[in-house]
Amino acid sequence: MSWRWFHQWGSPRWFYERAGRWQLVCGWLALILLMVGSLWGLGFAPVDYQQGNSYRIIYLHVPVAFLAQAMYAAMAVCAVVLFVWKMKLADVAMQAIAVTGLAFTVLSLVSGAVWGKPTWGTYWVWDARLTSMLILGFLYLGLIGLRAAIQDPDQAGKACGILVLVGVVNLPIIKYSVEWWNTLHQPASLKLTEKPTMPASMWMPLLVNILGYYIAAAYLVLGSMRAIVIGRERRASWVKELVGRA
Amino acid sequence: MLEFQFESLMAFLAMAPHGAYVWPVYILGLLILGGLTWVNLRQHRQAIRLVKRQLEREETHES
Repeated sequence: MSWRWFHQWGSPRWFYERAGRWQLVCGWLALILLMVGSLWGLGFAPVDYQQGNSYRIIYLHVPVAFLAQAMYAAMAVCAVVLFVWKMKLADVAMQAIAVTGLAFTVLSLVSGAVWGKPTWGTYWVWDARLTSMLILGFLYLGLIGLRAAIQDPDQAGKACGILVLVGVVNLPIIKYSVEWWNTLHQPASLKLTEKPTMPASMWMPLLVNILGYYIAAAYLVLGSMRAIVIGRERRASWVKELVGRA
Repeated sequence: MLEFQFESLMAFLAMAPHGAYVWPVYILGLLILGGLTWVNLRQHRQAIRLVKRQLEREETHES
């Protein structure tokens, strides 16, 4: 088996030249999916018989909450790749994901709090799901702070990689928090192994938005990675050539 | 199959009685996605500008 597909990720130049095109495709695709999914969910999905229209927050809250966790898992994969193969691009990805992941975590916390007010009667409770998501936010913040505090990018990458791997323990805690502890938060509405707990007219737009937000996250991370690559490789001849030509 | 769930556009915008909760969340989502796109573009432009300045310095140094 040829490992070329993997080894080419070792070249920042190879990545930079292609990522622009990938980003363009992801950007348009995300825009279309999010517009369709959000309009569908906000205007065409039926009203919930218990929660009324407030449940429509689900079409933003669930996708961004999924992503906040998935992006942390992606960072953990990058950390492993960084430590095992010393791939520079894995560290660039970790740096890019940290900022985007924090934004999604904040959005998930705020949208959850706003949804909580009409549903539970309060914006916030210190229960396991909400608190473990808040800790996820602090982990992202810690990573951004740690990187900013260490000047040497290689050292910063290693330190962040270790923190990412330690923080992975929080992911199963978030996932199972609604089963392990008493909580106001409802259990998962969509599961890979079971039938959804809502009708198709409600979960179909949710699926469109989940896909849309995943692709939007890819668009944002690729954009951030391209900027970081240019910054870090500014002394490389290919960057000088590229900028000289422009 | 797909049926608009509101009587009018105004009813959709009011989304009674939860419009005050639903719309701000979506506006914040839009702001965050748009904001991150803007930050990335700015960071990219700044990085390129830095390299340009570096190239200019190198040129004046050589001549």
